Amino acid sequence: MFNSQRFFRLKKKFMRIINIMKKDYRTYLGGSIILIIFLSAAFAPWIAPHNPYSTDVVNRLQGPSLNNPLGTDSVGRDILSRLIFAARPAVYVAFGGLSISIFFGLLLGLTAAYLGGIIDRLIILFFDFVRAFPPLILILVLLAIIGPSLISVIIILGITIMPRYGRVIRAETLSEKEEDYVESARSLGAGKVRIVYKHILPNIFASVLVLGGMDMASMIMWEAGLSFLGLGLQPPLSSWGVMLQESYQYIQTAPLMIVWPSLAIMLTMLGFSLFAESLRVALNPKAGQEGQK
Amino acid sequence: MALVEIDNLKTYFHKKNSIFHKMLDKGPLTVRAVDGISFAVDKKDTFALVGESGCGKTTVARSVLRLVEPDAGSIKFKGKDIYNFTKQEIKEFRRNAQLILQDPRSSLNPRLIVEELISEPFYIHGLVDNDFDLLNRVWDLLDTVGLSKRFSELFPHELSGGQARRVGIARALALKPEFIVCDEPTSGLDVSIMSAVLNLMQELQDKYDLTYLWISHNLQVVRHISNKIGVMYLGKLVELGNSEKIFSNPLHPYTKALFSSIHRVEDRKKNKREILPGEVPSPINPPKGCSFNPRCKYRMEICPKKEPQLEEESENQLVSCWLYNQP
Amino acid sequence: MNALLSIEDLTVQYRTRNGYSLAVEDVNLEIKNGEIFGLVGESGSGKSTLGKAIVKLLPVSAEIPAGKIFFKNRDIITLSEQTINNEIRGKEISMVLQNPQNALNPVFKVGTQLVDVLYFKNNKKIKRKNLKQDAIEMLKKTGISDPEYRFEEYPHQFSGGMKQRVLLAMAFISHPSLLIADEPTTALDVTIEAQILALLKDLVREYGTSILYITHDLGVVSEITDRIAVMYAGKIVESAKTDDLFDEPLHPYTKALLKCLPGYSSKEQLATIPGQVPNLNNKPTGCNFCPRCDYCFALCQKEEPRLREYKADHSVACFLYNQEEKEEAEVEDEKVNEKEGA
Repeated sequence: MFNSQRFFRLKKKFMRIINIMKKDYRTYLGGSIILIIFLSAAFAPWIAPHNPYSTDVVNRLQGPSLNNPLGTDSVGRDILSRLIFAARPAVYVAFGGLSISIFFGLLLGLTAAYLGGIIDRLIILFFDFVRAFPPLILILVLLAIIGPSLISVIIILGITIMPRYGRVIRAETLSEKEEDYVESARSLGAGKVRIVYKHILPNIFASVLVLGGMDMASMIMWEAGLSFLGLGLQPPLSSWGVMLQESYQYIQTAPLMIVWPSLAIMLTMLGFSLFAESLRVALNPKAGQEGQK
Repeated sequence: MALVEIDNLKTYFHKKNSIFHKMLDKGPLTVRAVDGISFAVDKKDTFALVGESGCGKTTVARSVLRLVEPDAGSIKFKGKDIYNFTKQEIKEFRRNAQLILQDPRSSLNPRLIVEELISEPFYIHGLVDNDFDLLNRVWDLLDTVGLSKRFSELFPHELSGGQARRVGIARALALKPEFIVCDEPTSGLDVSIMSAVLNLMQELQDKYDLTYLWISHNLQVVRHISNKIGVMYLGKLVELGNSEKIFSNPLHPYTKALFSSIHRVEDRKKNKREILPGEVPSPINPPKGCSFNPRCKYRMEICPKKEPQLEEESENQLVSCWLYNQP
Repeated sequence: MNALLSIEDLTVQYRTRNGYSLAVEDVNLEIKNGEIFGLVGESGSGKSTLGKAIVKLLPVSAEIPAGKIFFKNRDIITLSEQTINNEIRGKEISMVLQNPQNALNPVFKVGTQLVDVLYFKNNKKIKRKNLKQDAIEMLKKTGISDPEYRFEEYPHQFSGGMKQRVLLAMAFISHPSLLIADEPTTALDVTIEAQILALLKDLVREYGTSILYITHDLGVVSEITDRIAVMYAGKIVESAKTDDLFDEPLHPYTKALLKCLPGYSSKEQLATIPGQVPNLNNKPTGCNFCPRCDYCFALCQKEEPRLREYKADHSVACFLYNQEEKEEAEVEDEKVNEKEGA
């Protein structure tokens, strides 16, 4: 199988994408930020200079020093260590939530567009139902039902954001469905499944990717927001949102404390957006050549 | 026996009736795209359907390939009604009948390379046992349509219009079909490219005994390539028969006007052009009687009252006009 | 000077990632008063670029490194954007484009769009109300029935042919001296095309406007134009009176093009032109058409032929028709051969 022509073709296409991405600074900038976050998430216990939970009330609210490069928080915990450990929930929420929304968005969006009729209407009704609530209210209600925890935050964010994907995917599928090449495939005898995964999916993937790149960051923001309200992770577990929440009270005495988690969130957003953009450009078959006039 | 027989085909598009529409009591909105068409295409023929935009020729093409559900009438392929096919028969039909679409580039998926595009039919019909063997078949097909091997790695947007057209032809030929529906296959191509594509398609017809149903509004191309034509106006055939005969002696007033509108370099000094007044009426609400009567300069009393039928006027030439078929 | 428009050595290039792409190269042409001039070429020959250059509507990536465009003895290239907007575009020179479907703004009434042309032509000095009658008159002239009623309608209520009539009305309402028509009938059906061409001829007769008719359709130009220039890869390869060009085409490209037309040779195989149009970023040295030409000889690969008058009013850019240069080259070739032989 791995020596087959099909594999070579895939490899060639893959290499083309890599080669285009290699020339794009966004790949490196975004990629390295993502890499740092992943590495800190994976190796947190080994990288972090201190135990993120060990308190030291004497040295509370300290500024940066050699021992605590980013200072300490209100109970004297090392901020850098907490920041590194907090990369884990960030990655979980971003990937988990996004996977849920993209998976169900694709499933429902493609089904709606391809089957049409009453099923289409029902699915749209469901999307509208979810979207009709202000997201915060929906989240509060759902959290009240399943209780606050990392898993529930992931599931809830996934469900709340899903209609965005469903809508976009449905709309794009409907317009791609009318394209000549779909009709051409139909006349060759291609079945619905083949048309969807071979022809429509690759062509709508770019828009999903762009949305995903932006949402990845907003997922982290949502988690931060929920934790800030005390509905996400519960202290002493650290997440960037929890840290924001804690430092908020000390904004006058230790203003630097709020900067670090904000910076982490901002950089993550930047990294994912840049990388997604670079990937989107490379996926376009017209990339790498001069535009036709 | 004819390869494809179309009998009284009717394809209507029903527009959704909104509440407002019902309140105004306007009755159902039905676009009569194809309104009772019968013809037969024999093996190795090139049957051309000509007419202006909106006359329903493309809908006929799609119905013949089972891509649109007709409202009435039957389409027989090798004597069997294609809308009563079993699953197995449909699969076989999809191998036997192919489609070449108008826009050479947009009929190719922009994200697949030529090799994938041409090998797709083999995958769809489960005809791939060895991938390297498949690559050879792709190269053979490229060679058949006059492209070199290096094209197999290009994306559609890297091809010129003519090359993309050739890839489309290769894709259609892959499963060795007997019947190809060509929907405006030369529109949008430059003259020099178009002539090469036409030559290629004629060569292929001789080589593989292909039958073409050729949909076009380019009458010069039709005259060159077809041996039978049907002239459509507002979803109906107004003239049908031998191409040579109709071009040299068009009978129906619409055919006459249509042929007279062709701009040809040879005719530039003749300057006797018949200009058809007005525009094609809406197929939602076609004129009563003969649908051409509001624009016809030979209009008689009977024309708006009763619809003429397609009747044989001379050998191999049928026309539906009261001038010839006395009521 | 009796020419209305005269273009001298015009070159237009597009900046691309792979360097400059020469869309129009050393073009010379003249359009006289009241004449219909056909500009024929295949896609990518630079004919539309040339049309846009005349009214300076080129995209930002385009540059004009050399050449002059004299319109009524003023060099358009040196005029400021404001002057062109106030005095030339829509007043002295109008344009009709290929796709009538997109050329009208869908949210404004057809009448309003038509009146706007007059309103701005008069530098907003006359009230719109007072211009309405002129606009209705113009609609009537372009063969739109019931113009008072149609005046109040929106573009989507017009068919393709009707829209093209409106666009012609918009082009002629300001009594321009020159109309640039870029493939105005390509998107239309044949019977509608015949209507529009007849209308165009009538309007020209009435207003005495000169027309630069840009198209790829040899059949159409053969009928309506007085003179024709054939473009290939950014250059004019032949230019002549219409009848001369079709009766006796000189340039191998023109000849080949005419042979490619179906209907010329009935049922037999059609003639084709082998090969491809050259890449505009990287044109061959020598004659652009040489790689596809049946008559190509040594000189063609080395030098570029200039457009020269072969006989009265019939110019061609080909060494076949330039005996002196051809003979010189042959002598040189022989010398080379002798040397190689020795």
